[in-house]
Amino acid sequence: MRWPAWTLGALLLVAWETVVRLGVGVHVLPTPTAVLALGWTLLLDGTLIDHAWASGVRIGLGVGAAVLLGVPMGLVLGLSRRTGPAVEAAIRLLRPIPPVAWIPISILWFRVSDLQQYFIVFVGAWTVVSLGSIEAVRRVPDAWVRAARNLGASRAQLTRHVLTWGAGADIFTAVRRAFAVGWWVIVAAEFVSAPDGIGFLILEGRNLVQPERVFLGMACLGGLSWATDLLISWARPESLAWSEA
Amino acid sequence: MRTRPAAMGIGGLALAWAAVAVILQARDPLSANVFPGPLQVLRTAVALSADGSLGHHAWASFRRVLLGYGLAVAVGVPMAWVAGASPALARQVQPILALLRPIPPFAWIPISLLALGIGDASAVAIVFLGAFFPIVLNTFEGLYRVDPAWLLAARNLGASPAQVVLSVRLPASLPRMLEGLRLAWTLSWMVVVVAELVGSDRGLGFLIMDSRNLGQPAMAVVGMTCIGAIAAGSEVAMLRLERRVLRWQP
Repeated sequence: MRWPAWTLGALLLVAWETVVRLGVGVHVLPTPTAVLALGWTLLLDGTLIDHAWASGVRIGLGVGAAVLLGVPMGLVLGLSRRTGPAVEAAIRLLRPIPPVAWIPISILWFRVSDLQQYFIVFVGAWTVVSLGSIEAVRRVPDAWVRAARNLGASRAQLTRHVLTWGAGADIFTAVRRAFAVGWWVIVAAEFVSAPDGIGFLILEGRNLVQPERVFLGMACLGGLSWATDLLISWARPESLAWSEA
Repeated sequence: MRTRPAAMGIGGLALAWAAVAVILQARDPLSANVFPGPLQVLRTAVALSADGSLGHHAWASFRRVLLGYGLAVAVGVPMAWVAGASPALARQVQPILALLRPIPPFAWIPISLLALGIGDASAVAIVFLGAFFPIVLNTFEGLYRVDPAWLLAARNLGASPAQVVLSVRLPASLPRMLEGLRLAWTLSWMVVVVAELVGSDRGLGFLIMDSRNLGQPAMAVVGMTCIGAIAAGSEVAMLRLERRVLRWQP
């Protein structure tokens, strides 16, 4: 007989519940049912939605700005033979600095504010999007670019009709990655300085020694990050499907 | 000719940085306390290395990363091998990993702080958790996504189940596993920085947070550069090693 694929997961959940009920690690591990109960309470009184909304707005604005700035920049830089590699080298120099390492200095620049949070998300997402777009453009077959130029396409036409479609699928992947990075980074930014958001909810759980709050926050983050990814996959234009093969 | 545009870009970045700092300082002499110029950062770097504090903090972070990452490799790789080698077990483990995958690595920090308090032990545990999941996920995926044709071919040629695992599954999963190990290493550096930002009394993350509290952004820039340099240097070294090990790949 074949066990269904969720058997081990369910067994582990039951084991977790019983072990904690027996009094092992009560200050660190909540029971799964306690997490669910707290989730239900916070959902009903609106706290959970407020925190999720706060984080979501930060992700949306930070990554949104990074996409609006990074994609056109990548398209232009990927095409240009001279300035492109120079600017790319500068971006690559900055890339190894983890976005979270910008947190302290950005607090000096923007104080503790929403702008500071957007900045951190932006920094993390922008390097991913701009470098991803540059590479995507480079991967467009040279023959297409030359053919279009030969047929008299202007730079604007080339960008619009050849590059956006030729590089579109890879750029889309970069945007997806940028959103995932955004969700990572926002937690850290909210740990350090934020009055709300899922990261704040998690840290609050630690300060109140309420492990179920921490786990609830982690589950929410996972869910939100997964949902964002799904949303982007849906938003992907049908016309990019050709490069799937 | 590839190096010239790169040098120009990096030089341009440094020039732009210096120019912004000079303009800001001409307008307001106090702006050095918010936006330090390259010279100021260089002086701070020299001072910090001379009195040994930069080395002290860098070593503290490095030790935590090394311990946490080493532990994650030692536990994660065998675990993924056990889970991935048997198809029946793999089918059970897959949905669990799929659920855990989207949780950002930093989210584990508060749990470690709850369990172990602030200090070296919790920082090591945080790095461990941050590195553990990418290692397990990638190693497992590598084993799981081996081309079925290879497995069938091996079986057809009379390989025993143990031989299939040892001679086909493991080598075939190596590229993905090494990729996971490299990802986990860069991630460990990010995680240790956040762990030190949130609660620690030394390490590079502490240094940059402390410089903010002291209002000395030049120190923060030195710390950021140091983190970036270590991360980039070790990533390049790992990529080289990876290419070497995977020479057989087309």
